[in-house]
Amino acid sequence: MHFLTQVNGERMSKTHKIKQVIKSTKKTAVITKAMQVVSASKLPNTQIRLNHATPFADLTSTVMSHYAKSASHPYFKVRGKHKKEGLIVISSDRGLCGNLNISLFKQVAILLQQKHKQGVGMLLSTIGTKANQFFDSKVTVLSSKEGLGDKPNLSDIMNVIHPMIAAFDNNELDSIHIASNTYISTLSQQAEIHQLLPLAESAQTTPKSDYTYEPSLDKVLDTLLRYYVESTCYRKVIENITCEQAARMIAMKNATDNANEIIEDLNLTYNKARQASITQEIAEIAASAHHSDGEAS
Amino acid sequence: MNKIEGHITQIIGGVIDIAFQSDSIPNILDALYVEEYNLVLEVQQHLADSHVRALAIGSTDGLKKGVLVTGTVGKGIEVPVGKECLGRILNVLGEPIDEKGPINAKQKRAIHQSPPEFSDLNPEDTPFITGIKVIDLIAPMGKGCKVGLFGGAGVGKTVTIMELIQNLATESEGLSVFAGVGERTREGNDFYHEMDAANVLDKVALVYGQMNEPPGCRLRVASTGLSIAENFRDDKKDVLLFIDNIYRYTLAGVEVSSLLGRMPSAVGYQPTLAEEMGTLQERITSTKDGSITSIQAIYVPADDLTDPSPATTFAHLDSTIVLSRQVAELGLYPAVDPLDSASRMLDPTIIGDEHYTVARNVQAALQRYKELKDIIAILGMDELSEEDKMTVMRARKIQKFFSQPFFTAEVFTGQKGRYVPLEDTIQSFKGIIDGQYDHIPEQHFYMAGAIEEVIERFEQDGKK
Repeated sequence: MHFLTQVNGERMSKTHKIKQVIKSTKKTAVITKAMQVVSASKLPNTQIRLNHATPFADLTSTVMSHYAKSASHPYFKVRGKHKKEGLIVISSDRGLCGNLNISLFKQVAILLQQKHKQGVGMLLSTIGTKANQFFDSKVTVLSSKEGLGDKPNLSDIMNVIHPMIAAFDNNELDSIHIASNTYISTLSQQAEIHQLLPLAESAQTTPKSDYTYEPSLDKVLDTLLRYYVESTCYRKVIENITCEQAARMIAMKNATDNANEIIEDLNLTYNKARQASITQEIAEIAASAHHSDGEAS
Repeated sequence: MNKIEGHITQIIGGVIDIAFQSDSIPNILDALYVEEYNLVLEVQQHLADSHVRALAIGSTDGLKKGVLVTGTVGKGIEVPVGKECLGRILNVLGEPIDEKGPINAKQKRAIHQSPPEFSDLNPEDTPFITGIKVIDLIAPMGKGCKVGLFGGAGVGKTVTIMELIQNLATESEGLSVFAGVGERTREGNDFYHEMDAANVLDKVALVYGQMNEPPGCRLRVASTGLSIAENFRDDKKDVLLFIDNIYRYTLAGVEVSSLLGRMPSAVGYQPTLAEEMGTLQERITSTKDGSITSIQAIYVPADDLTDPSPATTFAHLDSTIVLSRQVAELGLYPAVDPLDSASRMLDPTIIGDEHYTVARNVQAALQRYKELKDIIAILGMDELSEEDKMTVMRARKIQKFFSQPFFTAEVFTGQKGRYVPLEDTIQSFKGIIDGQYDHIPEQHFYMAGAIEEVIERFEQDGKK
């Protein structure tokens, strides 16, 4: 009899275990669902902020390209040596946003490898916790900023960009690149690496220089170019946040779907196990009842 | 020894009641003979009024009530033992069934014996190398160990046991006894011819009570094989005892249990399950004279290891190798589950620190992978940390690398079998765990021998 209860106990624990897993998976699904909803509600706001930042950055970019040929400012000059280059990597602060950060880091890692082969030293600046975590132990990080939040100010990212620009000004760096995600649509984001400095010529616009400069061209350009670099970085950060929310929404939706699928499968297994143990017990009771009837007659 | 005579009063399947004179009834487990039908019975119960209930060791087809039964008090079933049995096929009663004439054995031994005395047991720990990576690493076997191969239907128990025989019996100098309990007759035939082809038939004794035979035969055939093995052991020899499949022994017990009038217990098994298993298993043991290394295949009904039959067998074993359906479904053979399998031998004082550490690290990586599987299933690989991703990649490689082409499975895999020495096994897995082969894609690890083969494949692939 003792043995019987022991075995029944084991069988009970089997269904019990399945039930526990179902319970924990359900809880996970609730969390992922909540995260999906939160991201979905944040996304429109970030999109609006991106739309606000874009015109200014685009316009400065157009204006700058006008100067590209005529001006002799160091920011326009392509430096031939290529001994050391800078790279600003923009990532999210938090995870659970699909492969957004990973695909960006992969591109950066490939670039780093290429540069390493060419004998070019790389200096990194990171914006976002994930980028800092990923690159901190692997390469030299000049400056970093974590915990920007959803509504960063331009001043927040200054501390990261300025050391990089200073290094460029001092001729320590031959160029600066920026790696971030480009927002294409809610479903698709593209990891891209752009050259920030020196400014590349834009092929589409014809260079114009019929501006009048006060006090002088160089002074105006100094301020303008600085503005340009900063606004471009800021725009990239804003864009990356938009990407993050969109990617998180999709990733969490997939996660919720996956969790529900697992729950469905587990429910089936649970019902089967439950039914099997009931059938087993009925069979045992019936057999022993039949048997003791035989004894009695 | 007094001869006795009785008459059959009732026949229900393989269970027969016999009436004797009140002053001369046989002892429990005595052999009785129905000479008219050439049938042997074994006494199981004493009923009221000098009636005896016996189990037929053979077919009861055509048997009639009132037929004469003879016997000798105190004399059970005895089978021929000794070197004359080598190269022969015997049935449960020790009769030759290979049509090679009678067995002129000098010695006979009762199939029911007491287990050796406690003081005669030999706690020796000499490792036994099987050449199968996953077994050597995770569940190493030792001389005199009892090894159980657990598995549901069709996960490769018989193929694995055949491979073990191939690698152990043909390599070692010792003698082997193979007991076929309730398995396919075809496999018994195949095995005989394989042993013949490998020129080791003169070192093997085969005892068969396959699935076409009545329950009495299947219930006692393991004891017959064991008696032969015990005899070799007592002659100061090292014996390998293979039993395929110990579950059929339990099943035969179930078949006769109800007929003997016992009430079924949990899951319909006989109430004497633990005792029946104990009397057989406790005899399979090594003494100071010689060793019996036994390898038993154990069928797991409905893949449920908590089923009373495999659960009862578990307790008797030194080493359990669990073949799992999940692993088999991935196409990884041998389908050994490295987390469920265990061995008493996996101890740093027996196998050495390096082997122990590598085995435990491998298990830790696989355990971590198993835990992360839920996360991967819900959130995807991207959400794992770098460290976890590395663990998952290595664990997947380890999992693939556990597969190995078998000599006995050449017809299925189309690949030649691989025998991997223990040192190569340890170094290969150590390399994977240490990340030496992180650059090699995991498909190269599938169905390989030692790690050199994986590297070779990778390099050839690179050339293309």
